[in-house]
Amino acid sequence: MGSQARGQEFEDQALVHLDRVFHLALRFTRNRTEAEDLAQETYLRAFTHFDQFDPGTNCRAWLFAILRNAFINQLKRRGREVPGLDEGELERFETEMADGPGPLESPEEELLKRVVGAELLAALDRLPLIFREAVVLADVEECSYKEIAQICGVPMGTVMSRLSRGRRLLRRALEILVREREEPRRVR
Amino acid sequence: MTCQELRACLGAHLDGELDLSLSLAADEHLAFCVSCQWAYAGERELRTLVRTRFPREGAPAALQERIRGALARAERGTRIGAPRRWSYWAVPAAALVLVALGVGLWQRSAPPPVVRELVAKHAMYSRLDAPAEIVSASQEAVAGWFKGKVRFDVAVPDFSPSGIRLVGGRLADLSDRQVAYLLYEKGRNLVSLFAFPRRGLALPSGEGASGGDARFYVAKVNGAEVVIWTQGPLAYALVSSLDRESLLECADTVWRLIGSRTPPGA
Repeated sequence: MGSQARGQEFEDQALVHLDRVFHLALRFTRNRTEAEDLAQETYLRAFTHFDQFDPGTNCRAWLFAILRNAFINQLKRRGREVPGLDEGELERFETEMADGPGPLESPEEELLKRVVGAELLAALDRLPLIFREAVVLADVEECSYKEIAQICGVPMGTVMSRLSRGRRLLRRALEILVREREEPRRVR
Repeated sequence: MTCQELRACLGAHLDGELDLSLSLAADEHLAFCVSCQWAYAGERELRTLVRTRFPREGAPAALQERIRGALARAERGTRIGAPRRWSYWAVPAAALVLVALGVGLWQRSAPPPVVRELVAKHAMYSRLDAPAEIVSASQEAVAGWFKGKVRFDVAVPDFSPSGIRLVGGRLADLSDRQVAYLLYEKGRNLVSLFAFPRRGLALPSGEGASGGDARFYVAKVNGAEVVIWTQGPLAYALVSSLDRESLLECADTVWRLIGSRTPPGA
């Protein structure tokens, strides 16, 4: 493939997903500047390895896998522990969630109707990485379990259990946030 | 299927990810179990909420241009037959294999994370065709570009007497701090000069180095020579696949330049 054709092919196949790639980078880094750098690094890596992309497959999922790898490598390079992979942190988080305000009197469907977009974002960003990525990939990006398994490099069973744990924690985080907003004096 | 079994795969059932027999069993259970129906409805409600109400943010317009530019430069660099702008591994692959096999164990100790990160950055940027955000051979222009972008003065040394040419500069980050990154080249070798606030960083020191210059910490990491030192409130690092002598000469040039600009005791 000539270089111009290759550039056009990359533009058509990969660059069209920039919004989604940036958004996933933002959910990983939770920081706009870092997300922009991560998105750029993802595209440069993807471009270098574009010959390894199988045109019949989902390019967006391929980009997501590259992005995730780049992010994890970045954390390791900085000598940081990869957050959300540490069992201790997960347990602390689950305990913290359990210690929050008690369940609302109203049924939870009613509660979910009162959630505002900003709370959804805040609740999700609170989740440890492995749950956050499972929920974002499944529910925001609407990836299949098989795609999530490939992106995160884990078996399908792990995807299923992380997603169910993640959704449960998300619901709990939303409950806490809505209650804090609606009944500030009664909380803690 | 029991309630407990169903609850374990409720989300997967909702997502249409169960195989046919499990999916049929789940439906059969749901048809008569009111409490599971309620849980299923709750699960669906949450999923719908995230799918429809999550604030999806698009990429800033400037990012697309930035990536297009970076890709165009990478494209020029990877065109078949065209040499890479910089060769970042000066050592033959066999030497790398030897290091991987444990020759590295002979070193006194493994390089600190800061050193490894700097070398990784150098390697990453040398793979790109033109990683500089400001491309200029003018010391003044590059120093001026950093004004207001980093919270410290960036001195841009002149290595031209050693045949090392200024390419430009860019911003980088190191353990969450801002780094002024200057890029130079000699032939196909990239020379990276990093300057960053030293405070709070665990930096190696050159003290105790046998036969070396006590001002500078030197190491060879993944085939790249590294020289690191601190001067005033900043730390400096030079990384390149040039030989150690040339790099130490550059370090000395920077040392004298900074020394001449920093009032004593500052």
